Amino acid sequence: MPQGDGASWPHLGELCAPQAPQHINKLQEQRYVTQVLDDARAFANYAKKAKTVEVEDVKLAVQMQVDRSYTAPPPRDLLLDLARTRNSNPLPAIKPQCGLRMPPDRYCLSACNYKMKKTPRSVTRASKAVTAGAAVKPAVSVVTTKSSSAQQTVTLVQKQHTVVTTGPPHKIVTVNRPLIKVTSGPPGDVVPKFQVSPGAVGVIHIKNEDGGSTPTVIPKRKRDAD
Amino acid sequence: MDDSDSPTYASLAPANPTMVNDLASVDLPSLSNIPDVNSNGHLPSAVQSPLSGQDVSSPQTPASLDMKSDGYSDMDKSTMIAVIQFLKRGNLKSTEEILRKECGFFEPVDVTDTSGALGEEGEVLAAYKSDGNPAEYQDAFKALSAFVEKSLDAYKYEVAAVLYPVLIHMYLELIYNGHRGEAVELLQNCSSSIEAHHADDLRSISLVTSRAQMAGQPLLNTLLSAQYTCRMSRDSLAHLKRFLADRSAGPVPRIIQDRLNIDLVDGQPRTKAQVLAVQGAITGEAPRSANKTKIFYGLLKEPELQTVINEEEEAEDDLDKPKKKKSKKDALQKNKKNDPNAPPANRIPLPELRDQDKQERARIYRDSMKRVTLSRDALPSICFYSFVNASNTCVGGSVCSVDISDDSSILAFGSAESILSVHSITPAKLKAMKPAEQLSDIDKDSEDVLVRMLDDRSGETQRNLMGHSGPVTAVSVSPDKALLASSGQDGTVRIWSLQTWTCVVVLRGHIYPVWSVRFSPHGYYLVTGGHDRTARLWTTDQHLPLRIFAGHYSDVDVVEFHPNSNYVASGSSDRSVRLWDCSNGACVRIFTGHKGTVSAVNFSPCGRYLASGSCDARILVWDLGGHGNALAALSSHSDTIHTLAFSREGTILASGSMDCTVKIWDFAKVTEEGRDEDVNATTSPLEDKSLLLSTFPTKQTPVLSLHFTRRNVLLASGPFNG
Repeated sequence: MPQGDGASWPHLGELCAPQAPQHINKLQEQRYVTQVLDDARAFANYAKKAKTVEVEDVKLAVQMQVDRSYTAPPPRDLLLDLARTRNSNPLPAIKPQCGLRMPPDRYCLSACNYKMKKTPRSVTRASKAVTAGAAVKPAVSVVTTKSSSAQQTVTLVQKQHTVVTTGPPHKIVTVNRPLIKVTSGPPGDVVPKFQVSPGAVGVIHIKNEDGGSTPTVIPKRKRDAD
Repeated sequence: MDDSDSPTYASLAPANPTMVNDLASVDLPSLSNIPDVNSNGHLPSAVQSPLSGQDVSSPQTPASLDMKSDGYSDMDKSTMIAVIQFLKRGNLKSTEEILRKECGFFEPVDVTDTSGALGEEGEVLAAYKSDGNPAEYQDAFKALSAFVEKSLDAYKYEVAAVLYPVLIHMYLELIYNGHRGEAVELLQNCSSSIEAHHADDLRSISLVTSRAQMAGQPLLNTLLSAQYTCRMSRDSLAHLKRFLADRSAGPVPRIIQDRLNIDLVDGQPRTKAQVLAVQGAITGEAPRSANKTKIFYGLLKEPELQTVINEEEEAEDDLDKPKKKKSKKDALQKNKKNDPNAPPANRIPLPELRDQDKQERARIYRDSMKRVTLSRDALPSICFYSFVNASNTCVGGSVCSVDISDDSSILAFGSAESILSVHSITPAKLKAMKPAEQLSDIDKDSEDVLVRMLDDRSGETQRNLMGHSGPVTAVSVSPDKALLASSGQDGTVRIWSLQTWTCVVVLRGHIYPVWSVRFSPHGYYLVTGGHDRTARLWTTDQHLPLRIFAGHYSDVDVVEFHPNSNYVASGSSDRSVRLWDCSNGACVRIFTGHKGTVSAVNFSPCGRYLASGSCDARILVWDLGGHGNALAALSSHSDTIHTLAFSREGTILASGSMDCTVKIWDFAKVTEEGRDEDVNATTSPLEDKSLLLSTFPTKQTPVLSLHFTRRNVLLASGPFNG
């Protein structure tokens, strides 16, 4: 069993799991004990009463540890108090003709579900794997694509114009003046397959993800609007 | 003896001040041991001994500081020191100076607080401090049990009820004062005179062996904060008082005075069976004052179904004989009479009936016409759904909760792998709602819009719902089958839509595991019970609970709505069943008598009776018109009873248990015999072997749920442990 400061063993579980599962428990115990003793020593030093660690210090260290890890349900008098406050409000009347009765939208899990989707590589220029969430308007995006040799990297720095015309299902982001830097590695076999002329303006279409989740929302929203 | 001395008997513990302690009027001569300041400066406990001949009480609570400022010579030095220590602790310097000036007491006082390590509980536990001689505890207890043995049979059983609380409080006092050896010896020698059903509690108390351990123990918190209630008739109480008067110097009268609440009952003393029937709960029996409220146990008036029925009748005109039509009308007329025990329709707001609900009611009515009437001669047919391969390696996983919808078409179960699975047990399939574009095309005013909005092609026999992050402890399908509620050990309650098959709301009130959830029979309301010892009332359109039913001393394990949705019953690990009123959250009944955790609770369809089953394998039936006494005790099972179900007309009670059997009981007989006499404290519950009609054993399949269909076919389900 290795001795030493338990705090410097951060991932005991992963280290030991494949080889010796029965040691995990022991090492975790040792880490706990050294943590408690460290805390106790800190308390003893703070109190400046004794240079040695006393029983009281250890008790306090254990208590701190327990308070951090475990909570108990609230005491009975607190519960009775809470109950009295809440039970004093009369039951609210029920709104007629409501359809499905749900809490306000922010307490429901009924919001629109968004997913990230890769656009197909339709542009013959730089393979811009630009992905965007529906509500994102980035100012600058850096897209790095690796060529097949993995030694040449193409860095595409785009300053995106924040003109967004929203309208399902497309969001159009206009790009101004893409600058392309090509850092070439050793004289290679692979010739970059693309050429960019600076100053060209490109238009990138980003498709808004219209997954199967939206239908589940819209009928509910319709009903809410009724 | 002055009456002004009786406040000194009030316990230091923050016990319920509204409890009236009948023994306060006992003529105990004033005790002669005056508290001395201990050598290490501990504050003396002023609980036990009224200072003879003095009007001064020196409590440690900040509430009452009755000091007679007559001059120092009239007061005991130790009292003075105690008060000054208290003032110093509270930093009341000017008060201290004034006091010292008036009394001429200028000695320095040392404030040491070794009980501070225990925090707030230290205050409460300090009540256990006593200077009693440890050796005499055992003798005192033995004398008490000898006295009980020798008592006349008439008083014996009621007086015997004090043995258990006296023993545990003696043990705790000895432990608190550090006399561990004597405490262990006391338990070993004296446990034999305690009834068997207290064995579990005794064992958990015996694990506490030092003062430091006392602070965190939950059972102790209960024992300290609530007084143990014993009900006694006047004669038994007088008999007990006579014994205590002889023994005033010992610990017994003191403990009885402080820790027990003796509820005085007029009438005859009870027999052994009667006393045993109500014992079991952690805090003793329920005091009479808790069971006095009137309960509206009747059913709500059924709404007008005449028009709907008439339409149906016209359709069946050719087939129906004239006689049949008449009986339908008669049945409807019966509902119009006013039931004095029924709650007014607006007592709690209930959702109004929509067209689909009215059609459902018509369907219920038609089914009830075709229903098989069950009785002791016509037993139900049982259809058992076994969950095979219900281990933790498959998607369904270890089944821990099952529910069947009211029209018996959907079976939903929750597993320990946090997955909910919904199956259709009729040929109709589970359909999902159409996607948005198609929904906008359908005609919203058509009669069958609710059918049209579901996509026919998406019908499946089984669907899984994922979302919980812990075992699903309970499932409940709403009466209109649009929603499903599930509670989990992760502390959340989730509401799922059975049309879009997604989770719609997460209710996060209970932070600790929620053990049970039920929809109300009228829909809209939900009740949940959890580890935080509360049951909560929710509605589907609020994210916070409407009512918090607090009062249990331990986890709330099962909850159930009354058929009129006005009351909620909750069964708990503190071995009592409580009935709560939804309109104001008050506890209207406390039923004690179970000797183990209550694990199943259900109301009869007429609303008058409540049946509860527990881990001690007994079913107790309670009459809601009465005052908290059991009507019948059905014992035949040998293991925890997980589920109870009443047949649709309330003549048969079915119970399913961990001992892998389903038992059928004759409930009609129970109600017949109960109606003749008024059930009160002096009647013992009916225990008749002939109430058991039949037993249906299974092969190693504990029964998790029972459900009577609308035509009285019994559906049962459980995981096969093969």
